[in-house]
Amino acid sequence: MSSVLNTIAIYVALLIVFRIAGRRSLGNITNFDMVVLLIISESVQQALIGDDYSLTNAVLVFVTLVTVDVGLSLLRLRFRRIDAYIQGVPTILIDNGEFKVDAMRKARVDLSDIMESARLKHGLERLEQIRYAVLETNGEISIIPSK
Amino acid sequence: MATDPILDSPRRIQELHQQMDVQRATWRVQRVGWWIMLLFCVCGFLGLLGNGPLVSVTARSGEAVTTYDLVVRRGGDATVSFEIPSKGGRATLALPSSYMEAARLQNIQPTPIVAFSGPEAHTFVFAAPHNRATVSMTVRPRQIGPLEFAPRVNGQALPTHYPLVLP
Repeated sequence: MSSVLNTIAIYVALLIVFRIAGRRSLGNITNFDMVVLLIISESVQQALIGDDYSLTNAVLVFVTLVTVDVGLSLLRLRFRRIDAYIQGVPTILIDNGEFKVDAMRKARVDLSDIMESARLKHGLERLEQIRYAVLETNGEISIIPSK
Repeated sequence: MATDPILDSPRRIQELHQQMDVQRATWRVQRVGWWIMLLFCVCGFLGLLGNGPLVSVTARSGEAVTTYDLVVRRGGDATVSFEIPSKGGRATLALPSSYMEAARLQNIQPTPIVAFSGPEAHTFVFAAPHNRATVSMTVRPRQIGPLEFAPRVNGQALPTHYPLVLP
């Protein structure tokens, strides 16, 4: 029983911490971020499995994780408001050529991040070529070029 | 007109503005959350979540002294020490069975010359040739919540303490 409860608790704790950390923490994963993610998985591993190294317990833990994840995705489909808070909503950073500075500041995105996405995804070279820039829920910045 | 929730999403980029209230609420919660995470780290650094000097307390009862942590963690090692006055060259420590069930004894030093368990308590007798014996034991709590800790030394009950066991 404790394996299931620990797994659910760890899932909820990770969900809350990563939502608090914000999307910028997910969108730009560097090599060092990968190392941090590995350390996080290592640090929660002991709490998940405890002293029980059996195959049964390992299967129980990951089946619980997947079940909770599927359950949450079903809840998000049913209740759109919950989905918006758990998954986040896209944020417009450039709206028809106009900078949304407050949104950029709060989302911790600067102009260089937007220009980087514009260069990488559309080969754009000037700011005026960007009509819309949107910070998506996965932390990436999508660019809609001017016509 | 009510729509199926699965179709209830913005279809044009301008409709994303309608979700800004959610975004603003999220930003507010995030900023509060950053301070909470910082506070959590500081508490951990200071030892308020267990394993630190700020939660270590010393309780005296007559000549007997007990040092233990007010906050401990389930599954983590916690050290409890006693200074027990000698009585006829012996020092006796009795721990209630309920405590021994809630916290697994990992280690006890020095090695008792006699140890026996009864229905109500586990009793350890130590050699104490120099007026008192200093006993240190390591326990690993197995339950979450307040842990009743009511030891007896040389047959005399010490005040009951309730260290908190964190998950």
